Amino acid sequence: MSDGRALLVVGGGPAGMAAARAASAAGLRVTLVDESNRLGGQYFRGRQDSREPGSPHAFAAAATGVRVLLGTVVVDAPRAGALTVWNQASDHVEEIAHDRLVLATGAYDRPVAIPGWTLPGVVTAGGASTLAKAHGVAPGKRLLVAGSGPFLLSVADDLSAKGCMVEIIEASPWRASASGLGVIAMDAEIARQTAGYLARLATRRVRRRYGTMVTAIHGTDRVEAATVEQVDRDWRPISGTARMISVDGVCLGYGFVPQLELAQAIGCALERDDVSANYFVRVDAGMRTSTSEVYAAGEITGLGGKRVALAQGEGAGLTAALDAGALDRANYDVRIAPVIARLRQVDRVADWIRRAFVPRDGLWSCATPETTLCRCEDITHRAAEAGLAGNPPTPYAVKTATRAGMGLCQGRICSPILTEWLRVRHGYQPPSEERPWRIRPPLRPVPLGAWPAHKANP
Amino acid sequence: MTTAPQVEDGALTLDGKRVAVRPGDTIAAALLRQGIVALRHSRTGEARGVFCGIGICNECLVTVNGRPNVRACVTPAEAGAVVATGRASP
Repeated sequence: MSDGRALLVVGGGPAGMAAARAASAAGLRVTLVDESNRLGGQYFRGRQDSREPGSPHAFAAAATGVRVLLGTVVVDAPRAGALTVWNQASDHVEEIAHDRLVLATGAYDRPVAIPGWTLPGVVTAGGASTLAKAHGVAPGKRLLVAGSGPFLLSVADDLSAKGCMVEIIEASPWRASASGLGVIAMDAEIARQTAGYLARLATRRVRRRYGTMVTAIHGTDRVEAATVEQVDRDWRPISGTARMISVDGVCLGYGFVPQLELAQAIGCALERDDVSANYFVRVDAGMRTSTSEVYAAGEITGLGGKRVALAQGEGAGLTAALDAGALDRANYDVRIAPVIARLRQVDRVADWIRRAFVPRDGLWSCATPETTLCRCEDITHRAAEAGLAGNPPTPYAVKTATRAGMGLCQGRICSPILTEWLRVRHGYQPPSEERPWRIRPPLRPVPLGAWPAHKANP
Repeated sequence: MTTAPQVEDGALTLDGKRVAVRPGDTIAAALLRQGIVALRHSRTGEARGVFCGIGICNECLVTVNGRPNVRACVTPAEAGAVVATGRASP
């Protein structure tokens, strides 16, 4: 009965919208699902009306044939050709059948465990940016934006625009930023954007400190102060440089972690990048994953940012149309060529960021024995250490001994920390082709009453 | 005349206290505008609040109209909603 042309796209950010739009234009029947109630992903949060390329505004105008299901959370991949979703508004769980699938599930801020990171007022940089852009609020009035990479400029821009006093604490040395001047100068869009950030930050007296790190956050029921230290090239604190700064909020931005849970549930091959301490979905030049009829685009393939996501999404949509027989090879070649050229162009800046701002091993040594590792279950590093006794140092050993990673977030926050902490402190070798932790369905917490079995037998 | 507690338009109550909401607000945004950052206590009694801000970490769980474990950072703030803090995660 199926003609092979039903495409399901998971994720309504830049990559997912681009994939849906390209595939729909090429003749596939496309359904796009996203957890949020608005399209745009994290990048366009609070800016849905932006006229930037790839925005929800542009998508709404161009992709009129796409069925869009918002507030819809994928909770399982029960078999090939079907996903189980939970619609939050109707509180109903159902299956969506498809012939092909594009994964564009994005990324979230890399969590890091430093003393005091569980205090109210400590938020991720991306979370702070969303709060400022979409709602005009901030976690405090005097803020540190701490971490590494050009994203800190964007977050400090968003927060200082709301009247917050902001200081940027960049762990990488100034020369890491300076090393990008060449690629930035050759990229008009990024050059203009960067100049804008720097001009506004200067006007608002936002100071930037390089080669420094927030190594502890203090307070009782909320953030009251932070310790800032100079760090060496491995991000290890230089003794005698610590000073205490009085702040009421800290925004942590040490890069991102791809949302791989659905790709893992489907069984797509992953690969570890030791340099960035991350796992990515392995794709071919046409954005095909190792699983047939499943494609991937955007942050989950390599954290390239919005412009890379747009090109990859378009590529994934076109390849899905080719594989479904909706596009012939000659037509595909004509349409994919400019996409590949654009990808090559925008990937220069992305590649610089990937190499220049990688997390260094000192980051995983900030935690003291008392520092919380798993926030859901309140497991400290000391408890994790004790759980290792007599066992080889693996995330699994800590999980079974302590329940770390078995709370509501299912290890999304602590597992990336635990993996790198074990590597740096205990010589653990993370596997190269699969993440050393898994998430069981439901991939997100779903109220019991939403499942059909419970509706049928109230 | 009803004796039920009256909630003005454009406000939710947090533990009985009135908190103004703006169109498009999430619960977390409405509370942060008033400087409220602590939303619950963890298993061992530590104060916790919004961390990831995008619905992943489940640190900002509150009870809304009697329904527990609602993520404040991604849940729209509706006028008249009765929000309670202080619950530990299940």
